[in-house]
Amino acid sequence: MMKRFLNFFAMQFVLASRSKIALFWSFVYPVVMLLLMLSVFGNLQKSGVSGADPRLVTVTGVLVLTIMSGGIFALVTVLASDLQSGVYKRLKLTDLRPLDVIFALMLRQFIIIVIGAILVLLAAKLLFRVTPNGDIASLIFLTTIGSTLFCSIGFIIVNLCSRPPAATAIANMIFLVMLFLSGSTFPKAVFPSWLANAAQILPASHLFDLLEGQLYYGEGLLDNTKSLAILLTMCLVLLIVAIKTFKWK
Amino acid sequence: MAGRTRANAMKIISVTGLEKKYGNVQALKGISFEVGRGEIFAMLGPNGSGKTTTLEILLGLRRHEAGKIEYFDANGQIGRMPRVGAVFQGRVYYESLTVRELTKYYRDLYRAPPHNISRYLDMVNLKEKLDTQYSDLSGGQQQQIAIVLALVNDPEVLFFDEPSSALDPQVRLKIWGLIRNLKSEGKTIIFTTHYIEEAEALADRVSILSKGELVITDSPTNIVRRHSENYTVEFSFEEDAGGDVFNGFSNVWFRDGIYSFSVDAIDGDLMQALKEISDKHKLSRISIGKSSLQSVFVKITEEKGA
Repeated sequence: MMKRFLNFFAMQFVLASRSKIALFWSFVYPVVMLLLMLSVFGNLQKSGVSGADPRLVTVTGVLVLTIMSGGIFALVTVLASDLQSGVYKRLKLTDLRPLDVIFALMLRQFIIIVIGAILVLLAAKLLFRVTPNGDIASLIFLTTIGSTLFCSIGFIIVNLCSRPPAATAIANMIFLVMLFLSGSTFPKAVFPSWLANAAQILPASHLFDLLEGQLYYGEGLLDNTKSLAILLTMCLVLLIVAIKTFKWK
Repeated sequence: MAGRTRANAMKIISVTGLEKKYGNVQALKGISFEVGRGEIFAMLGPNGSGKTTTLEILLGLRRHEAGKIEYFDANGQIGRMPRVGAVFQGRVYYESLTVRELTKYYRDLYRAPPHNISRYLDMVNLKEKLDTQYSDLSGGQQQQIAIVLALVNDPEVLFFDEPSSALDPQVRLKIWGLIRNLKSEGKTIIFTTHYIEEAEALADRVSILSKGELVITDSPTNIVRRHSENYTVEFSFEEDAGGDVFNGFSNVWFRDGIYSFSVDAIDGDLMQALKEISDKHKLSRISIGKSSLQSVFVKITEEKGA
């Protein structure tokens, strides 16, 4: 069982390494976004936290973007196209189980996301001398939860859309809404209260809040238990829906 | 009871009353057939007749609304679905992987112990393509590799969906040779096709499907013998001869500019009728031949309005 899972995972990893588009969106796009966003927002000051570098809020936003892009975009684009061409119809005849497919793809995306996140943090440190707070274990934990959650969203989109263009369009819409309303690009403080409240139903909002707590405020994971509980619950529910709705064709 | 078990041992799949709907469209209208162990079984029909749907239901890739599918083991007992391999239409493999990677990865996706497929690569003369990416192979090479990849789990039953569709004649003959070799190894082969010559050349038995109904199942020879008159007469005219040219003839079909009908015998009356037609209209072609699976297929599918 494990052998088939690892074999499928290895195959997926080789495929990802040969996809120039996937490599661009996973590694180049986040770093370019970091350069652009730090250039635009880097001089804005955030009051209330003495000593912390305000540019860390921008870095946090780019990290959320990296996790979302790797979880939703990369997965939907590749999976929808493979499903339509019949690759999974052929795979169904093997002894792979849906769980092998789901977790192998999630593991692949997690590794890609972690590499993308490391590149973002390195670029921030080397090019802009921005050093984040927080501990590595908490960062990896949040990246794992975020990656699993957004991959689940990606699976659900593909499972529920019959055609790749529809899946890509819906992925785009969800991605952009979360990008703009989660605080990753614009501070939620400038939102009208109804919009700020509405934004709290988005998982990206809670991931941003938790990462911002880590990187900017130097908080521990348990300093924002409400967001952590909501994020974990959403992750679990969406993962179950992704597994239940999985289809080979 | 023992007799029934012996009879069952001869077959590997039994399909009874299979029905499938897509929305309001009844794609399969209760089809029934059996496939014998070690035989080559063809499903022949025009596009949209339900061939691929049937094949995908047999493979467990589609659900069906009604009907029963039973698989039999070598002892004639109803058992689990046997090990299967399949060759589908289209590009169902990851195209950026090399042939070597595809064979390795797909072989390891099965519980079954690794099956040596190098002899099949020898058979199709594609061993030198082992390190070529699937996307860089020609259409014919891709199809041959797809067949080899269908064999990685040493299947008992092989399903082919239009095995030589859109391939040039040389590659088609090569694929037919490979399929015959697989039969000689004892594998059961089920394939769909809309090429009559493919069904005639390969199949031990053929099912003709039309509009979701299975019209007939038998060997190509028996189908021709049982369902055709003895001779087929074909005509075409240099210019439009008008609709009344075949007054007095029954069951005249028109397809691709050619009129055809069947007769029991070539006699004086027929020759006189042909002479009268050729006196009135300039013929570009006339042929009289023994009826073939093609003429039966055309007749059956046109009777069904396909």
